[in-house]
Amino acid sequence: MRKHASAFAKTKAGLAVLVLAALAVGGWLFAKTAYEPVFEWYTGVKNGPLTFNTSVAVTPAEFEKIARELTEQERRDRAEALIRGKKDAFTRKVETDMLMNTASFSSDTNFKHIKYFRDAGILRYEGPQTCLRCHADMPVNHADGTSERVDTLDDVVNSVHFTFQRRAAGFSTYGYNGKQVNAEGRPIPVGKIDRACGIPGSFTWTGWAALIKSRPASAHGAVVMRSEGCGQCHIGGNYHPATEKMLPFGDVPKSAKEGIDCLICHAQAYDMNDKYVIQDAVGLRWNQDRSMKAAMSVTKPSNKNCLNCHQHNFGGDTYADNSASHHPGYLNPRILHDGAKRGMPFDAKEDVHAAAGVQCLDCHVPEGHLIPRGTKGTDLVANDLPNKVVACENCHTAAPHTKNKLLDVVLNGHVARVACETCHIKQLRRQSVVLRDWVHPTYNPEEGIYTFTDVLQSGKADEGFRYFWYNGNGTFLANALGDNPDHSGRYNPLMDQMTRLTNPAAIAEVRRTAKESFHWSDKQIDDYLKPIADSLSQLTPEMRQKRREMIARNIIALQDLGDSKIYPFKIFNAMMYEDMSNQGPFGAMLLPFDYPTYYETGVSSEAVRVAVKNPIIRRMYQYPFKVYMMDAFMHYFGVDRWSDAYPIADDGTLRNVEPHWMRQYGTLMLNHSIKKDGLSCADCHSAHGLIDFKALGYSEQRIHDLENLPEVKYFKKASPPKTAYDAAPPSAASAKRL
Amino acid sequence: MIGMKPLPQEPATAVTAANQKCLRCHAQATLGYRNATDGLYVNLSVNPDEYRASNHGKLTCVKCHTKAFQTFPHPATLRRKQLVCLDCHKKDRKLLKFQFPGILREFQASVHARKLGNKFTCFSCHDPHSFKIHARVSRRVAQTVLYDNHICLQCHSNESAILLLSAKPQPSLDLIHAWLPHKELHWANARCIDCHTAPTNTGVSHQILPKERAVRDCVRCHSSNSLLLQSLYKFQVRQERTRDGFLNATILNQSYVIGATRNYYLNVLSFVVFGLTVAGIAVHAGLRRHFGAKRASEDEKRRRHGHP
Repeated sequence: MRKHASAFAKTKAGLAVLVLAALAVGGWLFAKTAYEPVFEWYTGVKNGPLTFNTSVAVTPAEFEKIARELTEQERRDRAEALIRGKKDAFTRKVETDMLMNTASFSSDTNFKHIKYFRDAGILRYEGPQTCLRCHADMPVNHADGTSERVDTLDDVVNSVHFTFQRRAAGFSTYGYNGKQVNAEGRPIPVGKIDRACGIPGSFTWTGWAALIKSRPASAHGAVVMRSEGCGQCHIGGNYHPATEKMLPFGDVPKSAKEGIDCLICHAQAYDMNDKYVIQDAVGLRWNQDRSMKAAMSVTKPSNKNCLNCHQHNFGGDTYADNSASHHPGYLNPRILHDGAKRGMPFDAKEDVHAAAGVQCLDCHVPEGHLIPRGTKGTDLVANDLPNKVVACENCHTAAPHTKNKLLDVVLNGHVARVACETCHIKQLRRQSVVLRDWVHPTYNPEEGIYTFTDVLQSGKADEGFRYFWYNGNGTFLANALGDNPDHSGRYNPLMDQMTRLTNPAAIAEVRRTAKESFHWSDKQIDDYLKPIADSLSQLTPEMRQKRREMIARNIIALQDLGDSKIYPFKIFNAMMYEDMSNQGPFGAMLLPFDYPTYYETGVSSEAVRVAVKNPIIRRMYQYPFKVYMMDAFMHYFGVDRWSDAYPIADDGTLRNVEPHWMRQYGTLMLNHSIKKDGLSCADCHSAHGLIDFKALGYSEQRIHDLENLPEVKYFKKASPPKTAYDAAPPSAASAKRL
Repeated sequence: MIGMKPLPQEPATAVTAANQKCLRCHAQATLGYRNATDGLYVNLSVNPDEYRASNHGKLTCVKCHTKAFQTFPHPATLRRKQLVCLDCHKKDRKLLKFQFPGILREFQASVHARKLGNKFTCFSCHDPHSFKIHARVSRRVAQTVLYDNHICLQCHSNESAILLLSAKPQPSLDLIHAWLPHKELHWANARCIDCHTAPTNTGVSHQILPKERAVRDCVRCHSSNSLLLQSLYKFQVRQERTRDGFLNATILNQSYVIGATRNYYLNVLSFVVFGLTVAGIAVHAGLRRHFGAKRASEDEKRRRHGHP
């Protein structure tokens, strides 16, 4: 036998097979045993056993009391609906009380898990392990009609809600090098995990969980600890995001999986006041609600569950009906951010679908724990089901207008060129942030912290959002790609429309805010306004030329892909610190801020310095990281290669780091806060209408035609009156009170 | 630049300009509505490119739709009026060769007209805004097959379209043609109407037969006097005759037995074999001549020198 083996090994092919087999076994052993400690040592991330103070056992009597409380409203509603006949109020009350407290009423409720837990004798919720006792595997129905059983924990751990990244192809994002992200070549992990962004000012690696010392006016100089960080909205309950998943064979440690917060998505009684940062022996992490009450209220995710987190970037923290904002934390309350990313709340007051009781998952039809975000997108966010369509047409058909036949024929005609959102989103919330300056923070005495300065917030067309051609794809820095169907070359947003802010009212507002916040001279404010009005003014002539060439070579063809329609986009720019060693014609690597330093001292450059010192950023500027992903990342960014020149010099100061606005405005898709009545004809088809036809690349003749349609007069009679813009701005006090 | 002609440009003809007024709205690909009575989609869109390329592309819209449509909103009474091909096609002399009255008679005898009555019109199959004569002008049979079959399949591969016209659901085309050998080959190379119409004198027979009367006999086509010569290959044969002359067309035509399993490589091989045979004979004859002549001259020599 040994003879055979050694003879086999002597042949070249045999030797190769043996070596490969040894490597495979070795690799598997490494991934299973040594990967975790080696990864922790190399990146500085921490893991440890997780305990939560909310995971408390209840007595059977307490269990029944919670069960009655949870089902009280539902039982009452059902009983009241059944009590018939004219009765006096008191009799009605007595009968309702009797009926709703019968045994059968109590056992038959929407919260099925009350019965399951009672039968199984479960009196304490211990995180995923409690769920997995029954749900170790689960059926998943795919869109093509097939179904399979999957391991539930694997399904969750590999969903974007846990990983915030994707390595596979299927991004609607194209690099400035003209390549679709991860469509060819070696794929790299891309998503929220490794991307600093102008709205949070940091990213999950460096801004996962932070405790901030604030000195709010109400505490009269005493320190109040506040919670901040990306982990508040992401389901991992441990000390850092799922960083280990960034290597192809990497898996997160068992303790991280035990920290998954199942209930934030599934429990109707989830208490957002339990979401705050705690410090333990290992480090900082986010607490969560693991109470028995929450566990007993488990159902499929409702709008409330999704909005626990997603209202944060829809309506924003200061949106009055953001329920999570009213429950900022029993301890270390979360810092609520002024200025909303999109300013389009999804709730019954603002959105016709929410008002009709439509559930998030009605449109975003999940497959197991994978939830589709649609095939379109500009913002490089990882997508679990990139090929699954989430679109108005899924329900509304291609002829959505059915009320007045003649007007509807014409409106339906628009569908080929104009997206539904263009007419049915008429304005955003006033708090929608357009220009966020991280470099010049302002002190907020009420909160007792320094915060970023939103020099422009607006929900108005042309100020807060604008119309662009869009074919469903975006660039690496969130610019909508598309072209006027006449393909005349007049529409070139990356040289023109997306690089400018010309609206006089908006400019005046920036001037006013800057003066008020920074107390600068007029000359300083003029200089400050320059890159805001024209973001390309930050480029050298050579860079500008290179940009023009790259657009012609790489971008124009992408704009012409598919059929473009006019869509509304929230426009956005941020002033942040950039690593100028990694600069290209479309921008430079954005550097994150360390939240405590930023909020406590207001010295923005120091906050960058502290964040860049984070071990994982140090690694980012070293060889393995460079070849594993940063070079490819920068190619998409429009930069030839990743410079590993660490932006902190030997003496500890920042090196080749400069504050800049992004070289073009980002464009974020708008698709919630849908209004029943859309715009009327003349809102756009008039000389100074909402849509700037010239900016959309139409010819002079066509602009004239579009602005002087003879039919408009006829339809004017049939159109609904224009709705008024938000009557009054919310007072600063009411916004901050939240 | 003296003496240089301006670049040739598509003349902005009066027709294009006049139609532009209509196409301003009607070019929108999604112009249409859902009928309140049945919820069905009514498509009011005209693709300008397809229209210009169609046989009607040189006509102004109002030529058929009347000038009353120039007002907006269009008069409701006119909107409900059903146009008919024969409105124009009956009288015009230039159109005589298309035999529209004959087509109408065939259509009236067809299973569609007899079973579906008013629900079925010319426009059920032929969109006048994109209509092109095809069989008459196409030189590639496969393309004609594709174009013509597409017309049938608009309804016959679309369950909801069938249900609009008939209470009976469409049986699976695969199943009802299961008996047909090499079904896919037939579908790619012959038209639905080649088996499903009665042969007539008009350009393309419009007398669609009930399914019981469709051709099921292989020999009707796969024979020297093929049925297809009167239908699918009719215009090709005619064209070839005009082009190549009667004799050449008859000798060179592809369709002496339609559907014969002609194989390109076998053709080439037979040419090669034929060529080799001719070459063999030529070499043989040449060598015979050569050696024959040599031997004759040697004999001559020998005779002269008096050798035995």
